[in-house]
Amino acid sequence: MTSPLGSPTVSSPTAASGVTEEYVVPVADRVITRPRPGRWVTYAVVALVVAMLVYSVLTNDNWHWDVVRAHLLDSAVLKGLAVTVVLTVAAMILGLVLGSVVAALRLSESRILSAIAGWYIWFFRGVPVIVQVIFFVYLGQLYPYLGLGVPFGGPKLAFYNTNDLIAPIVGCIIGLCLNESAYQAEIIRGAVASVPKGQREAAAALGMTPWQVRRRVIAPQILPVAVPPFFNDVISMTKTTAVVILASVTDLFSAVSQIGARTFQQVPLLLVATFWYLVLTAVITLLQIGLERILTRHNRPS
Amino acid sequence: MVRIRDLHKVFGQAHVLRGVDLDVERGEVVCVIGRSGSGKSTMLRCINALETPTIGSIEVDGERIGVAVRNGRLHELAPRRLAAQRRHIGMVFQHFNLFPTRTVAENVMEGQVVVARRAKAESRKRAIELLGEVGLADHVDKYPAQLSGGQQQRVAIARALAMDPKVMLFDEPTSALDPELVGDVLGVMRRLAGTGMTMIVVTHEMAFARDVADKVAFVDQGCIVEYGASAEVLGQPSHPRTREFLARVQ
Repeated sequence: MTSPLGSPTVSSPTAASGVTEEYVVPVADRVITRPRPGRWVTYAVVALVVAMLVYSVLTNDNWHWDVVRAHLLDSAVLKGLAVTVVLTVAAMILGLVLGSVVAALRLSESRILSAIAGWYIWFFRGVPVIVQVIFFVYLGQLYPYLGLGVPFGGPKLAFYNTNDLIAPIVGCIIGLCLNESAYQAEIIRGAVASVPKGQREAAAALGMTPWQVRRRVIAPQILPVAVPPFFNDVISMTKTTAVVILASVTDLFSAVSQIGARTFQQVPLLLVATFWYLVLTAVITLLQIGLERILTRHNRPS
Repeated sequence: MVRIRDLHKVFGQAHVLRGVDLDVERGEVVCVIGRSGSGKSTMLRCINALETPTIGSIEVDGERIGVAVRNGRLHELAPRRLAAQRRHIGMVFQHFNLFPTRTVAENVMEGQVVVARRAKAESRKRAIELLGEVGLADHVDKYPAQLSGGQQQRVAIARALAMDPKVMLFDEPTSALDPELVGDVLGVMRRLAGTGMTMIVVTHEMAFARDVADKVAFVDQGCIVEYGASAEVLGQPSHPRTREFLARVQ
């Protein structure tokens, strides 16, 4: 801690009142910091490497920063960015909902339900996300018509052409969210397991029903644990959505690829995409920091 | 108030309780003593059905706990009905188990608001009153992590008392505390005993058992070996295993 005058201070809680006052360490009592030459060497090496990279990037015209600047706010790029955001948000929300259900099954006392959830998680984590996305986009090849009615060949109440019902972007969202749900289920299962057994017992002893225990005691405690891995997945998902290029859905990556191919400026346009992916990641990180701060209030000393 | 008959509990290969019978009258303070692993905590946890008895019956205030008897067979209770039974049985744990995301006052309000459906303002008033009684009036808006173990345990006692329990169960309430904090918690329990609360206390605090308990039960290898007035059990134990145990702890 540093006082406004810049002298090093320590906090000394005065026992009875609990009030903390700043205590300035007298000069004669201060320990003189040991020199740390290794640090300076490290600073120098890092500075040199960064300077070399910056110099090379700025002086080499092949980077075409003018092309990057020209396409940064290109309407096709911004439209692609919007699609990427929509895909990410939809896949994460649906994945979270579905993942919560799978986690609940996985944590069930019924071994059968738990095993079913285990197989589900194994399957949807194991099948490449790219395969899942393409599968749902081309579902019409397997089932040209989807209908509502009595199963096993009974009468149909309503049926639709699969390709009309599942637009490519919907197929992409289904594939992404199923994949994500398996990861979310594991995040939630881990978070629930991190809540000590005593919490559940204390809540039960007060007379709470199992649902009240989950809502009032377990949920507030799994949130701070689940938020970091959840946001990890959100950031990962922003880039995973790029697989939709294979379903002819124009997201951010697909948009820059098209422009790059047309103008033969692939690298500068990839830099445009990189810029926007980094912006997205920054926004998500800020959201995460804010949320974590709210959720871990109770651990901070007064 | 509490009636245990032929209670057995088996965990896999371990036969932890082997036929426990216990009667606790209204207003009595009973201390349960015995070696670690003798089954005293398991017995206590059966009373509010945190453990399900393998065989045996438990009644609290005349009501059979955890099961309903229909046509001579035992039926598992619906979670809602089990919860309703637990509402009147207060429990204090060795490791306090306060809700870490809630303030001290919120911990004491939680059961009142969620289970007893009292208004928030009324619950807070009662919480502050109870926290005052356990000597924590200055800490109502802190979080549990900001309190010492002894303070946390007193919050836990207030939290249980807020539900107006018919009986209070204490599962080694001072075993996880630093020695200098034990006195405060025992002091609160002593005052509570003075109010006529029915209490069953699993403990290693022999002085508390001697001074406060009406009766003492000595548990060994899953059985209550000796049960009687505390002065008798602790002063002139009749069973050799009780004598051996008391010689060791005193």
